[in-house]
Amino acid sequence: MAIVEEQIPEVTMLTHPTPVTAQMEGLRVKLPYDLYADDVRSLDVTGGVTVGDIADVLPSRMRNYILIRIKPFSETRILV
Amino acid sequence: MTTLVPVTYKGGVYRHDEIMDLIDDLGGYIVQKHVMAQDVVLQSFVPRDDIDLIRTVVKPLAGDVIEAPLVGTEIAVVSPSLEIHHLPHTACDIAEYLRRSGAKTNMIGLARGFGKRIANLNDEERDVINEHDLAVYVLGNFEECIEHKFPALRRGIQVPIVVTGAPDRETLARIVDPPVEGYVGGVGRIMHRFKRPEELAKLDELGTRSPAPWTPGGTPLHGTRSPSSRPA
Repeated sequence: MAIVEEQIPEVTMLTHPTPVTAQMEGLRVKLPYDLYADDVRSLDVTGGVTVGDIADVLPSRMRNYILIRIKPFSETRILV
Repeated sequence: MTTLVPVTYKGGVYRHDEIMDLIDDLGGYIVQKHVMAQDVVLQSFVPRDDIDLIRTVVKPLAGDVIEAPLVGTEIAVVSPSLEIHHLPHTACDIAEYLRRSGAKTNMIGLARGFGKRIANLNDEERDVINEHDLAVYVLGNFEECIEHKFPALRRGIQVPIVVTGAPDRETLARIVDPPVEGYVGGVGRIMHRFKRPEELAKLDELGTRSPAPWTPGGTPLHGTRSPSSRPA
């Protein structure tokens, strides 16, 4: 969540009460999917590992939001 | 090993950055920060042993630290419709009460949830509910109606479900097939906001019936907040 808020400044300009919403399996980012999905996927988590490597970035059925679902360790074999 | 517990901090904007630094320094996490005018609400995980320390630090700032077992979850409160026929008071009160225990709730009023025989769930509603961590179905008074209608309203839902309705808990458990994760009886069509003690007790029961992910078995909400924080 901190990475999204730090590296995509548009998130801080949104007027939604919770522009980035925490869920148990991931996050909901209230930015348009078409414009920002690739930016979110390429966010650097640490040491060259990107969000796209450790999570699925999906279009949400709720408006045009972005849904991030964290992949399990057994699938990614990446420990951050 | 340090156990992290989910808590909500409520206080003013003044010096709230010190509280955030304190939680970071103690090894906790801030999950969500809401700034609403002069108020700040921090939903966070803090080490169990340090809660008293945080309470001591926030006392001069008139802040409040409350245990909130549902921090970090997004919950769908599903009503057959948001029209007065399905009395939104109940749905609103449930949504608000779950927020107090740290959840982010979204209310979903179904487009075609009317009618025992014709009630339906469309694909958009199904997918939106499945994006949540939990769905709370706010149903009505009649056992017969819930029995016939609920299978249609839950079709394709893969997230855990809690059912509320006027029949008692045992009856709900009997008529809902296949079983769901939680039942809260005695919450039917109530024509006013929840304010009587027995109604508030039902909301507390709902908070404990919702599967709390971080504290196995859920933490009872009774006694975790002052009576003054309840709706008047």
